[in-house]
Amino acid sequence: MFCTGCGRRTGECGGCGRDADPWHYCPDCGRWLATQVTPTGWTARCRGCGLTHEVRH
Amino acid sequence: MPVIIDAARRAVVGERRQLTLGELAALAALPDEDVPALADAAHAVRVAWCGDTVEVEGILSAKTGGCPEDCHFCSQSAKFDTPVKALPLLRDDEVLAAARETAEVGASEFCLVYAVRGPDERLMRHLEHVVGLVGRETGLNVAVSAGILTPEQAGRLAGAGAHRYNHNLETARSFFPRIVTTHTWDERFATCRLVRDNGMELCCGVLLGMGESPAQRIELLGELREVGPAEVPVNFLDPRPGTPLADRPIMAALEAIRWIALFRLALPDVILRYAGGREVTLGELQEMGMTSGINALITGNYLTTLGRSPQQDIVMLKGLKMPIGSLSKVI
Repeated sequence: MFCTGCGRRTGECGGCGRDADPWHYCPDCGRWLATQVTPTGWTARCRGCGLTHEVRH
Repeated sequence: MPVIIDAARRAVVGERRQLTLGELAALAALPDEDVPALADAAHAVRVAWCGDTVEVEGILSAKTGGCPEDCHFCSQSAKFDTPVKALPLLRDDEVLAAARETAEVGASEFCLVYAVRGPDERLMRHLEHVVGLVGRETGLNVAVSAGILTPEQAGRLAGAGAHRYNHNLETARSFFPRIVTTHTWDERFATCRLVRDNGMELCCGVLLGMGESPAQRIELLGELREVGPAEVPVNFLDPRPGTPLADRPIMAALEAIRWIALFRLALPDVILRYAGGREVTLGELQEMGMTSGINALITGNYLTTLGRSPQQDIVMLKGLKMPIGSLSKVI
């Protein structure tokens, strides 16, 4: 598992991700995500492992 | 209540007189225990000048990241190593979907934001197309924020139906070089002028908490008066990882309330909008801001960070008995 705030392995990161931030790094492979925020949600896509994560209010 | 607060209230509400920058500086220096009275006076000014209606807006980053400018607070600058990287311009269907989300929560305004120094010809053609498309399809008033404009571009955007153009001064002229080095405060001021000269409403925001002094905030109020915006979004610094301001402290909640109140007392007729950073700065004091001079808000998420859910804001406004509607600057 990887930190969604910095992309480091979970054990190497002290927990930099905040509730007010969408994911910027893939929790599965640690690669950078293409993250698009919209007024009522956000979508993140990983070009590495193909993960797509979508959140709606 | 301190005499100077009572005098300020009488001046702005009763006499409809603009407070001097000296009077505002004296109010800014009041001790913390006077902030609730200051907020109460600002709320009275807001109701007297603007009524009780609240304007609700959604914003969308339609071109994220990769910006060549070095605004030290911004995670979208290509100059800094932040988690926000460049994405391509959104397609029409993606923009429309976000606009429909905004309309569904009861907003009347939708602002399309682009992380650029200024629009190139490709972006201008996109804007000339998408502004009308969103307006027709959703009934929303469409605003644009795309950086520094030329006179020709300002005219084209007005012709395309852009209701409002956002271009923030961000901070006082004397502090600006500490925050941005790739363009000048005067360039921003010139674009603000162009917006008004071309018949669009000017949305000209500020970002508080970057290390500017109280005197510089008063200076900024004077500069805003000069540029004459219809709307002033009030942002509070939410320090972003990787930016030069990443380690700045978050502004204290009561200090934020003090400055919301001072902005209303200084600018009684503007649409004063809650904007970015309000969640981390004010926490549970969101309602207090609404009764300290605010009469508009950005609801939902921001450009690259998450806000409160729109439902929370709707419930708050119902509780405050503040109806939602569209506003224009009081003439």
